[in-house]
Amino acid sequence: MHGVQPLEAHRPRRRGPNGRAEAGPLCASSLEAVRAVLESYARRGVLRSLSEHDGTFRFHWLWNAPFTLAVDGESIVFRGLLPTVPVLAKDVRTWLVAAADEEVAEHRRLDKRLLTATYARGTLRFRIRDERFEEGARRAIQLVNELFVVYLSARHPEILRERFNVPED
Amino acid sequence: MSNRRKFILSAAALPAAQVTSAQTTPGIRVPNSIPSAVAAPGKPAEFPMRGAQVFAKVCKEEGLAALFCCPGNYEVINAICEENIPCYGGRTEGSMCAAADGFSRVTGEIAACSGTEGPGFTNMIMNIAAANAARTPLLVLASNKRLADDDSEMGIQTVYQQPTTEGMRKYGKRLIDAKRIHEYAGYAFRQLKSGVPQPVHLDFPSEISNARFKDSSELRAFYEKAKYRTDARPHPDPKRIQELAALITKAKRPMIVASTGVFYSKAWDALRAAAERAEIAVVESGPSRGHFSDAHPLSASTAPGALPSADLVIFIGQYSMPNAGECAFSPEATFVRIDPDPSDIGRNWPIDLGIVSCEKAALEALAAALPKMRHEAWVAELAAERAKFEAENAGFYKIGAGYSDALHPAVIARDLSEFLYRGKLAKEQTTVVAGGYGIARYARRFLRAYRPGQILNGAYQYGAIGPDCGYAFGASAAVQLGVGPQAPYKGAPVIGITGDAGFAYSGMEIETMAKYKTPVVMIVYNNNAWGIMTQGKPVHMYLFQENLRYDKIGEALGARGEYVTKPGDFMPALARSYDIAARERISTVINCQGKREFWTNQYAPGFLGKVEPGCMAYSH
Repeated sequence: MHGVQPLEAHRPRRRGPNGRAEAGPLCASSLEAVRAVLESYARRGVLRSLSEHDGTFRFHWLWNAPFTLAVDGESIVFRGLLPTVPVLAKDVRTWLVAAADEEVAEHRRLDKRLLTATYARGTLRFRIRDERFEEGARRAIQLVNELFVVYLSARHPEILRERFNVPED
Repeated sequence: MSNRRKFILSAAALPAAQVTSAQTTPGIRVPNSIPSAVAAPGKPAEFPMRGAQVFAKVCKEEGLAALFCCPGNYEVINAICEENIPCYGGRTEGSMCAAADGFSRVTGEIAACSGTEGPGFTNMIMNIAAANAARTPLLVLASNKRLADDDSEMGIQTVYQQPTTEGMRKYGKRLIDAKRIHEYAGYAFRQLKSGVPQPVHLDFPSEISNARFKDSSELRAFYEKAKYRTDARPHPDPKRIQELAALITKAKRPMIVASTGVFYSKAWDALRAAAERAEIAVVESGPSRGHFSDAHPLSASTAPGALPSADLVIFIGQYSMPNAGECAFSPEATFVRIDPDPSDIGRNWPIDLGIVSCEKAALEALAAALPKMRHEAWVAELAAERAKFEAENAGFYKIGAGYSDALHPAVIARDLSEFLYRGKLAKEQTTVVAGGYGIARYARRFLRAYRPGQILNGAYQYGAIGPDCGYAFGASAAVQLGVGPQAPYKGAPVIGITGDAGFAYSGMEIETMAKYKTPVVMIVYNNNAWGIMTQGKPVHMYLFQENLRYDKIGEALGARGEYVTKPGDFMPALARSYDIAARERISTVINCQGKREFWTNQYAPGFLGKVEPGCMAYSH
């Protein structure tokens, strides 16, 4: 792991009344928990080239492509995760609703008691509840994984080609 | 006199009735000289022998299951034929190479292909590379110019073969010392029958194949196979098997990815025993499917939604390893890899435990080490995910059936599935070559495998969409002979699926199917284009003429043709084609007229992607 910044340097960014970003309160436990989760994945080789700067983690993951994950207070945010295509936004939101369905196996469900998800303009945000940061971070990463390797792989291969240069033939 | 000249002279002496008249238009027929030659007993060589005969004897001794070739490399192919090894002559060396590959992929046995030294050999290149990606034990043979003419460009066909196959083979050798021909035959079969299979390429300069030997004393090495190789296999470290058993015992949702090595080590019984012992889910991957039945309650091959649930994933015999993103497993899972080659374990996909072993030995040891245990919730989840997948496919079919102006690929796939698995045929009977590009994305969702070697994944990792007719011919030859897992279905027709783009590469082998009466029902999805959608000025480079008639090509080559343009007509055409294939061993090309717009969002469900591993697997 390279470029790890001291924990106290992290201040989650929030939107103020004027819409400008401002520093949120320190949320050491969420950052520590997410860092621990990502480091555990990195040690196992699931994530590669993990680095951290000011609460933002960068790593290589699916299709060996770079991903960015930011800790923002009680949320973890995948910024620029997908291209901003209207039909895709609708489908991703539908998928998130389906992922929260009671019929989905408990170990994969988007359990609203653990975390909630919102998707807008290519950014996927998970808000973790009740300070269950480690569990929530793991579930969020699992869900992103599933979004890509099951849903988008099957139904939107063109997005994977555009976003990750996944070979089509 | 060369063999080519002998052939020309003998052909000229054919009875008048067999000679085409300029005044009449005789029907296409198979001359009696073909079946009578096929049926004639060979004359296995005895000393004194030529080099080619010495090599052919090793092939026979080693159980080479079939040879697919075009004329050229005469001494070698004739010698192999005289040893009573099943031999087939086709229309292009490339397709014959694919046929040999297809034969292996549905039998697990070694097959050979052969061509003449320059153009014949280079015609095979794409399909040697495809076989290499599929890890097929393919024996590639080719003649070569005289050693005495090396570098001279005397005559024709000069090419350096061995550098050409570098990177797409396991072992290769230009034979340069006739006295070592038996020794190098041993090199070839040692490589083909051990470890991870891949093609082996030998080229025979004429001094080698034509060398004469009075007796075995003139050969530098001439001894039985037990002296130059072993059938012993690497067995797993018992401690590591115990570690794996402990992981399985602890796991809630264990899953085995059963791939190429399970098929080639013929480990399907051991796989089932291990899986059933502890209720481990099994998902297939690789260039062949069926070594774990899709009908088994533990099968995850048609339950793609279950893949991210697995908390323990055991890759076994997965020679073409996926990268992150190419398999739908959770980052939370623990990963184990079992492979005969320690140098490959850990490549691409991170491991938590590696086990070096022959796949069959590892599965037998695992079955013995595991306690009997249940994973009831996991089995229920698999069943639910299979049902969900079937419901999704049924939805695609319903949409596709609503398009009446052309044949949607979902209709082809679903109707084929109904015919093969829910009609009069035993669901295990029919071997299917699942090729093509866009059509494959639908067909694989509906195709099922219930026994080893039932489905051949055409494109697999190398992505060559063109060899499909060659694969289908090889698979059909295997079924006609009843080799390996095809034995119970000996004589049954084979189904082949390809696209209009793919048909162009190997469609001439329809003639070979007709010539040998190896019945194939070849489904050609004709959407007037390559599978890629593009717009603007470059579009002309992606399109064909519209409404081409591949069924007519089939008819012109001695097969039947069926022309289907709307949904309701496909099933009857398929039934007619299968029936005549089963009764009269006549092949059919079914031209399924689709349209390229089916790959756009204008026509739901559009172009489909894939989830791997499992029935949709295309690349790994």
